[in-house]
Amino acid sequence: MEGLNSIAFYILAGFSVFSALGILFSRNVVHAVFMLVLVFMGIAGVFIISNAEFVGVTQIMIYIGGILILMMFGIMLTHRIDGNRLETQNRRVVIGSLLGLGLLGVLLYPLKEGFPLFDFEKGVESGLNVTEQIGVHLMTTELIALEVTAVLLLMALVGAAYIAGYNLKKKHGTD
Amino acid sequence: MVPIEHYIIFSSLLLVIGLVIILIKRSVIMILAGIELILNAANINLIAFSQNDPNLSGQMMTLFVIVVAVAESAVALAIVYQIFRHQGVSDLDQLNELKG
Repeated sequence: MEGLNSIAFYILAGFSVFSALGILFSRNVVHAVFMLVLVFMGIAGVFIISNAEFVGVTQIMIYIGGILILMMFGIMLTHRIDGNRLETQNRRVVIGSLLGLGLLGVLLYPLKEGFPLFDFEKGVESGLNVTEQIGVHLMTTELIALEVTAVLLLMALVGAAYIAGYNLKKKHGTD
Repeated sequence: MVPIEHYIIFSSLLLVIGLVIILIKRSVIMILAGIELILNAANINLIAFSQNDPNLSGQMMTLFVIVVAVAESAVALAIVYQIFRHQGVSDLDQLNELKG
């Protein structure tokens, strides 16, 4: 079972990284957004095999169900749809890739010496599974964060609706 | 169990790919995709380090990061739509005036 988990991790991680490279190298915006879905699927799989089932399912529901739709709407509303392929150009490819590779080096260089982990002593087992524990935490220790997040979501919804309909409203008023 | 270093390598790769997308693409939608990739790279680290944590702090943080990412992308797409209606471009290099 443990071996199976590791094999699944490497398959899903490789899948995600190659799909992300596909976003980087594709010129077609629609292809890139669908590639982004594959990346999110891979990451959700990694979450699920890393003892975080609830977060994995949330990832699938919110990213694939929400953000993908939002991005497709964004593409349809912000490009001239005239039968041509929706393509994007690159700029400053060389300096951008050099910066990226430099950052990758900086990030991976310290791993050479291994990564000592803080050892949590095994506390009392609560007897709940991860999803139940998340529910309990949301209603006890993280209650303030939950409420603040709810207000933030409401603000973002109202703000997005207001900004997107800003000039539409004025035009209706003068007509 | 997968060693923690491999999670870090995975998330660093995704972060760097997201950064390069932000740096070299010219379409606003692609840049938003790059931002989402970077947020997901951070989430992978949080999940990986909370694997042995009995308090699940990393998973809680990940849930909040996901919610904030959704709010951010909704507002960003509304702004992009408004800019497109105003100036007729969705290409960052052609966006060179503040008042349309």
